[in-house]
Amino acid sequence: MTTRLLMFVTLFLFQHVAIVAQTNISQNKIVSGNIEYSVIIDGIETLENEKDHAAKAMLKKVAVYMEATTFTLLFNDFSSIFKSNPQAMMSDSDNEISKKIANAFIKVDNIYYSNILKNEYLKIIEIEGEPYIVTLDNHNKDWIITQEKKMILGYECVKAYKTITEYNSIKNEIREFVKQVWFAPNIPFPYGPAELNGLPGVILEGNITDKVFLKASNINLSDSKIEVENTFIGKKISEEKYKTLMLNIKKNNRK
Amino acid sequence: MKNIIIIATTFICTSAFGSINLHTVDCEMYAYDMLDVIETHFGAIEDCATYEFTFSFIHDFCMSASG
Repeated sequence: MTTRLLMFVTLFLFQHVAIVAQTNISQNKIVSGNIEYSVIIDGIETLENEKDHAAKAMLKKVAVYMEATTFTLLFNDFSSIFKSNPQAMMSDSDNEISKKIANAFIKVDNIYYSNILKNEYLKIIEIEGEPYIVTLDNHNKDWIITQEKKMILGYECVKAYKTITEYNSIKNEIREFVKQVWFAPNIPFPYGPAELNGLPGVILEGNITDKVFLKASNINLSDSKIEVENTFIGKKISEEKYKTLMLNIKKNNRK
Repeated sequence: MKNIIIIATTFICTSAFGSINLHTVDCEMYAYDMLDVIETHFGAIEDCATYEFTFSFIHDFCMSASG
């Protein structure tokens, strides 16, 4: 009887401690985090229906490169950094064009930094071998938060979206895109992958296109502070100047 | 779409058999077609810079393959 009582008390205490620990780490005591994101391609099986065999082979390699890439979001209470993790080497030179396309598509070389105290949002990028620090306008004010919810790695996430338009100079047309994200209110920091941020919870899933997503694959939260690197080297330019620079590069390349 | 089938097939021949004269290849058209295929399977590319880079990579790839 005594043994059974002891087991019951031990089990009760264990459960209580576990619940208290989870509550503390998931609501009040989080001061930093490290979240890994994987690339998910929705409907990748449709590639099998591609009739152009050469294009199919190339795009399959692009998909392999994309899916082999992971990213890390590191954050503390006032800043965050998002960048890719070193890729597994695939040295076949025939794959190089596929790798370039994959890397451009999911922006492997970009680093994103945010400091919410300074209202500073930076994109660190290399253009024609030169490092640039692009100061991004804060586009993340126009989110529409829905009632839709789903679980990601044990965290309840809420769906939000916004519509953006972008002029495409090659196609000479204005294109419209819907940015859709899922954020976790129980991780109450306004950070997320790439340029996605500004919601009352860390974004655990967000789309790059309507078929390619970044989705959290591992979440580590901590009650101790971590430093977020913010020593970047490069020429600082505005987002507007960055767009002009890219346009000029395109014009020069086509001459 | 026919262009891409012919040209891309020729690239396979190029890498497999060395040099084949591809001076007549329209690389701009090839890049457009390939981008359409990419967007069909991976979704529309949102930002202009990514679209430009991808276009350039394919265009350069075509140019180098066509000698």
